[in-house]
Amino acid sequence: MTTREGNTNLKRRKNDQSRLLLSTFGLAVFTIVSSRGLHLVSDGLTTTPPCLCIDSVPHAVKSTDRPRIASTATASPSMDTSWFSDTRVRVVVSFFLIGHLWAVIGRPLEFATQGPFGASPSASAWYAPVRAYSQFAYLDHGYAFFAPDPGPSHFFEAAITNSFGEIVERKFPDLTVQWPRLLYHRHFMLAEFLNDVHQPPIQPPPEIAGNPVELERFMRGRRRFESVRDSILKHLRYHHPESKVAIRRVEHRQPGLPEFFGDNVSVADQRLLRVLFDTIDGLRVPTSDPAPTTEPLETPEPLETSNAEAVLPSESTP
Amino acid sequence: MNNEAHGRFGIAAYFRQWTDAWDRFWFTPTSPHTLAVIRIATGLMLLYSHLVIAFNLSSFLGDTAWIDNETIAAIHGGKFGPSDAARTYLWWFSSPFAIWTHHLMAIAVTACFAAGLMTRVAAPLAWFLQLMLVHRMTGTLFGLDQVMTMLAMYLMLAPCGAVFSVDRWLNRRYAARISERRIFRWLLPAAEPSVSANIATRLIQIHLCVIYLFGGLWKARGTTWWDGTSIWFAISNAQYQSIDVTWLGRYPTLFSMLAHVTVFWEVFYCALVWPKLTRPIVLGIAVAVHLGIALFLGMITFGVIMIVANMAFIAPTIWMQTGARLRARNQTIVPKQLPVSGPLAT
Repeated sequence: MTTREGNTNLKRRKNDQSRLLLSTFGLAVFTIVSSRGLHLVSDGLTTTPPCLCIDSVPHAVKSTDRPRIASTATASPSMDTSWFSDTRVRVVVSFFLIGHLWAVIGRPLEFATQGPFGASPSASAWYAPVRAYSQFAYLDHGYAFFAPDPGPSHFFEAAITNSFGEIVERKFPDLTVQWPRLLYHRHFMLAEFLNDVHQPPIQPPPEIAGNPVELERFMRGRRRFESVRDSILKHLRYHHPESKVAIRRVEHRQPGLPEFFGDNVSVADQRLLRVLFDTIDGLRVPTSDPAPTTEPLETPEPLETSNAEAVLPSESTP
Repeated sequence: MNNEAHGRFGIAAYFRQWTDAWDRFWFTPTSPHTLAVIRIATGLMLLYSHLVIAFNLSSFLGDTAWIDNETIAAIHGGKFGPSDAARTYLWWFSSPFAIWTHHLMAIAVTACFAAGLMTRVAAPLAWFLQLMLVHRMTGTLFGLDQVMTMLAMYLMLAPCGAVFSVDRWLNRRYAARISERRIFRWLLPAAEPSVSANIATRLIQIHLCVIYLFGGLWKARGTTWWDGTSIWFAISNAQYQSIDVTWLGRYPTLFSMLAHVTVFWEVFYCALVWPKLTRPIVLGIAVAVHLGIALFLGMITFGVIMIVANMAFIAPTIWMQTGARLRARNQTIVPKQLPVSGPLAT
């Protein structure tokens, strides 16, 4: 055997060992989830077997015994216990349970498989039959709490100009105004929602120009943002009827460790704020520049107004 | 031939083991005590949420809300993207009188649910009204609403008002009359083990496993959860921060360890919460993590409701013993024997 063949064999053996290790790990996880999850779990949790009677000590039920729910009870069983002793009922209920669990897992799975071109087709196909149920029952969540990375937070500021020309600026959310904390958090989520739905008023990217479905989605995205923004402006105008109202979105990033400890940049430092522009003109959009804007609140603010009431041009100072 | 017969028998036995396990897992009766405790906590949290909204009702419901009726109907109705089934009649509620009447009803029903008064009726109503509310309040919701609605949905399946409730008091007070009619026995159920209590408990448990699994998998997609800086970026977020713990940043070993433990715990929660050996550790970490979120990240409500959901893994006997001890303290009578039942009995 040549040295080259020896090396190849060694590599192959190492690869085999890695695969074996991976397979063993995968099998172990599967065993824990499936066996522990159903069979052994039931045993584990019923080592002290289930007692169906409320007036006696538990029965000793062998793990291999088929559960006879009604017959093991020494006291009269509850109404639903006798109902569930019928196998047909258990089969029907099992059917519904499986359907429900399908919906419970469907959306998080689809959401977790999101990529640049949408969700995995198989995950979407899996979720499709239970999508409507999941949406109505409010089960359609991704559960990506502080994930994939804890990012910056957002708020919006409103410039309210009264009939005398005086400008009052209000921040949403604001801990000093919105109390208790839950109310503050709801306003915080509103600001995050406004940021999430934002889509700049730009021409569609050339790669989707020939795709009418993608094009329509792109255009609708902008209309959705405008609708949400206009609704927020409408709310502010309702509470300040004689005033002109404009809003701007602001991003508040966290300081890095060297900034915080080395440069004394506190978490509330103004340098961590960045005004988010609505329009793109090639010069003013800080798309991916991580460098903090020095004095963002004193720069010309992009105050967003509804089209119907162009109180303040979107690129002007109020 | 023998091998063939043995093979068939093997498959049948394997299938039988699965169905037995399924049966035991879902259809073993359990006592309602754990669910009753979860009902009280969930009901109070729902009530609190409704009351907080009530102080600012026009900001969340109606034509002048932050997100007005027209916009919310357009978002869900397919005007800006795919239509969805998250429908609610509240999209068409514009009159302050109608909105207030609806909300006061939600508050009253939720109070009944928390107190355990007519729970069989109050529980599904409380869930339904909450569902209608969350479909209207898109844009201002977060994890608290997801978990509260989930718990309310499962609680309505079980006789969660059979103990620690006004229903229990009524059941004792009018025991003779209740036993006469089936409808009364259903309306004011006795505090006995039932399959529906087990099904509700199991659904909460499994749903919680799904939440943590995908929460963990999502974190595993990020980079800061791997290099350990995620905890720093969470505690240094000014918008979330309620108690300043940025001093943790001076201890990279500590905060990175917290990040790694969080990811590992979330991903493996669905496996490690079931064996008796690891369950206390997993639940202990859950309490620690959610207390941390509640105290330091300003989400007291979310932290508390997650701890409440984790209570589904606590055996009913624990609550029975606690209840008995409290009664004994009041009456100075110690019961000789406590009923033990349910799949989580230890």
